Amino acid sequence: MIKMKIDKLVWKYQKYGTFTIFFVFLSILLILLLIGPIVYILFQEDPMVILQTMSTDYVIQAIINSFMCSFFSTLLAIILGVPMAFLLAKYDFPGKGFLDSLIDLPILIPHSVAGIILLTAYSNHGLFGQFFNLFGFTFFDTYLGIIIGMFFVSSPFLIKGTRDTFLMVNPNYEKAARTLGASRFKTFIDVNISLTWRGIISSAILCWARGVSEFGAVYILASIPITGPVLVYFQFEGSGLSAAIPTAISLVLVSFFIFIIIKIINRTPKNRREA
Amino acid sequence: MLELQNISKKWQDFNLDNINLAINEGEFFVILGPSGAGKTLLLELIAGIHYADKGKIIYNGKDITLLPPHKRNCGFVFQDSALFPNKKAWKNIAYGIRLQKRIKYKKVMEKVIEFLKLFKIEHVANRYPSTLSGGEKQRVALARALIINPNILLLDEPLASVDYNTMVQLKGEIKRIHKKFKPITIYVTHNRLEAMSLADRIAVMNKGKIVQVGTPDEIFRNPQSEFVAKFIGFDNIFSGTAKFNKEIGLSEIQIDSMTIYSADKLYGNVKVCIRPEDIILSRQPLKSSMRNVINGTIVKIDDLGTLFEVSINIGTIIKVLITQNALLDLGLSVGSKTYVNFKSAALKTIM
Repeated sequence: MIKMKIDKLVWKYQKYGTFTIFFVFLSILLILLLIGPIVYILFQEDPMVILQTMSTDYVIQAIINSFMCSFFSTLLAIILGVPMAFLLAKYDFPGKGFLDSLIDLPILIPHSVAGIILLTAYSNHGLFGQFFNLFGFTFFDTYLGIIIGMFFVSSPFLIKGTRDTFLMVNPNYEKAARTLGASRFKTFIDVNISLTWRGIISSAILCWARGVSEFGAVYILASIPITGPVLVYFQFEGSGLSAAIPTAISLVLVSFFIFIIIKIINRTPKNRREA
Repeated sequence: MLELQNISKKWQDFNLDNINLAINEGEFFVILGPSGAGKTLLLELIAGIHYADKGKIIYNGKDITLLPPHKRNCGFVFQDSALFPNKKAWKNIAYGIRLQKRIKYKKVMEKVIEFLKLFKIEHVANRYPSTLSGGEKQRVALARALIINPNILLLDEPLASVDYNTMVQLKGEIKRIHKKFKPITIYVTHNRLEAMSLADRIAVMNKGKIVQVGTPDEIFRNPQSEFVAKFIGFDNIFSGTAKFNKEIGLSEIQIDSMTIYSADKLYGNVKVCIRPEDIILSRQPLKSSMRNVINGTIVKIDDLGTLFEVSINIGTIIKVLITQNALLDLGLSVGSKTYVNFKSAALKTIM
């Protein structure tokens, strides 16, 4: 019996080799470092307390604020970002590489710095703030401010993700549609969008999730109305670590739950995958 | 009639250089050339997917150089068929006519069914492209391109990625369809046999230029450059100097130390081309009308499946195609001495 088990181990070892087993070991280490703390915090609080926290009005309000503001910020990113992603995927033009790195800039800038930049531009004295004031929009401590803060840090995820899905579409599909009599716009809808909408939605989900999780830029430009991350920070600053934990756990659970649901809805059916 | 006048275009690594072609109504026109010659780019210029840097495209007297592709009424069939992966086969076929304004659903369905029958693909109508075989895909692609009743049908290596039997079948199909609808058909390929059996006329293309245009017979019997000769199967090409000998009525061509005879009147530097299948091997000098009899030594024998390619050193290396029977009858192997025999008329010379 024991010999058989050892044989089996040896067989498995030979099948995968030291190289693969070492990589598996490193991956397990990575999961422990990343996911470990998240699982750990879930056990730091009585589930009843978490449920209670989740059902208090101000926590619910903060979560709704986060989700809705990020939803609108994502919508804005789709309206302005999809056309640009299309241009980046389909055309070569001078300065394309530069534009490409420019889009990455918001990811690179520290988020507190992003907040300062946005506050300077969008406050009632800033250039953008003054301009939008003409139409009655203000950003400091308003929903619009939150949306702009989220938009600034999360739109690159949508643009880059969408561009990549556009790049994956065989250019011959477009050529076929054009020769069969479809205009540019019709081709865009029938070929580019109808073959990539799942990818676009995936990027939008990522963009939305990034918006929900944004703290720095939002906190500086519009700390009220209170969003989830800002609420946790206020609790931590006001009453210490233990006061912030229930809300923190609630945010983790709700975000994760929603994320999973959208991912499931957005799965590709097998028979329609690109040949 | 479709005319290309002085078309030039630079795009990525391709460079079309002053292309001039006139293709007649109902003609099956093949563009033959190696990969990288710019054949696909030329086809896409005709379809309007790219626009020429210079030159004009005229269709029936109308300048269509800058007409957008959706107004040109060109059917396009791609090597990879490019069927919309999210649409079932019948919807792929229906796509073009559904775009036409004021067409009734019933009429669309009638047409689709007609074309499904025409290409014998009724059984795949409700399947997605990813589940179709290579041959079925190309049939659907052909139906999709032809259902819009195109003025010009453009085919970009449509048979390059299907297996041999399917290729033979589809070739017949394409011929039949061309006879039925008679659109101007431009067919791009790198396969000389495909070109030979399909074309009314062939244009040979190399490095962005048209190097020769003619009927299959003209191209294959009478290549006008070394490139064309090589590309259409003259595997033996030698350089030499020729002198016409009035007494025997033949030209003597000096290639290194050997002399061969040609029926053409030739002077000066020439290229001599001989097809490997036009040469006969023998153990003894053959007593026949064949003017060229040269002895040599076999240096290599390659099995090509149905035939053997024998390389013989006759001062230079000459390639000969023979059957397995001939090889065994003659008892030839590497190192054997043999005679190379060919008619003076089998030579094709380029001055």
